[in-house]
Amino acid sequence: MITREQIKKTLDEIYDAEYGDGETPLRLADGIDFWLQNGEYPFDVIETIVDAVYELSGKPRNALGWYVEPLRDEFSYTGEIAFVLVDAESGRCLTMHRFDRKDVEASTSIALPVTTEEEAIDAVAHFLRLLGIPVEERASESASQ
Amino acid sequence: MVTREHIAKALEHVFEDFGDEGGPETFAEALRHWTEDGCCGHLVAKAITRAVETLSGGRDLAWYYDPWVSEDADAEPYLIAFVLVDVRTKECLTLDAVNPTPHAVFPVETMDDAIAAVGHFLSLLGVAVEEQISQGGDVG
Repeated sequence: MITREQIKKTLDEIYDAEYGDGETPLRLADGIDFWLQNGEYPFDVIETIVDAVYELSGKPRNALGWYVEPLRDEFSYTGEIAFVLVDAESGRCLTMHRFDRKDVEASTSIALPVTTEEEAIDAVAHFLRLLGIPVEERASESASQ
Repeated sequence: MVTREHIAKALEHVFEDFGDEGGPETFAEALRHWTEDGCCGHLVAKAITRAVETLSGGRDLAWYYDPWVSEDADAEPYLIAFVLVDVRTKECLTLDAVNPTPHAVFPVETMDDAIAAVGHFLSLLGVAVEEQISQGGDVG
């Protein structure tokens, strides 16, 4: 089972290796804070989450297809990111889900809040579970949906 | 066989369902807003998906669409990314398994572009479409 501590460590290592200056360690939480304060497109946050899923799942780069969009309201980013994840081998959309209400159409995507480090860990944990990999539950509450 | 006229009518017809909320009242008007102001892209995209659903005989489909205005001088400016999934099988019909990416991107600036997009998706769903329609649109 993959622990939340492993996910946190992986996220921070990837973020620091990709965006750090080699001197002061950078954490993903720094990138999230920067995104929320400056409102620029969060390439770094998205890439780090996706890279962590590859690293922790052991999947090769050509095994998964992603479409990712940080959601906006009229004025700014909401802090939620929409993800579509497809298993490239089977062609199945892993993020597709139906809603309980029959009058609501099925969705191809899952929108996850990524405003804190814990929520970023939740996001990685969510995708690992979709890939059939067991992940430690968050202590205080179940992973956000 | 689905023709250009069928698709054009479907685009206008489905638009009537959600064109009564103070916004554009026709598909052509939504297209105009999209290409002049950069707004209403979601309505244009939604109309395309509804037309596909109508003309495919009510297939149970799930979509993701993301309209955006490209700043790349070498690209078509008004683009819409679509992800199309068959709800019954969960198969992503827009998957490019080589790259791999789950979405197809279309320039949607004119009625012809929109018809090409609808034709492309209908072809993916196995619906017979006039040949000149089904060949248009997808820029990968």
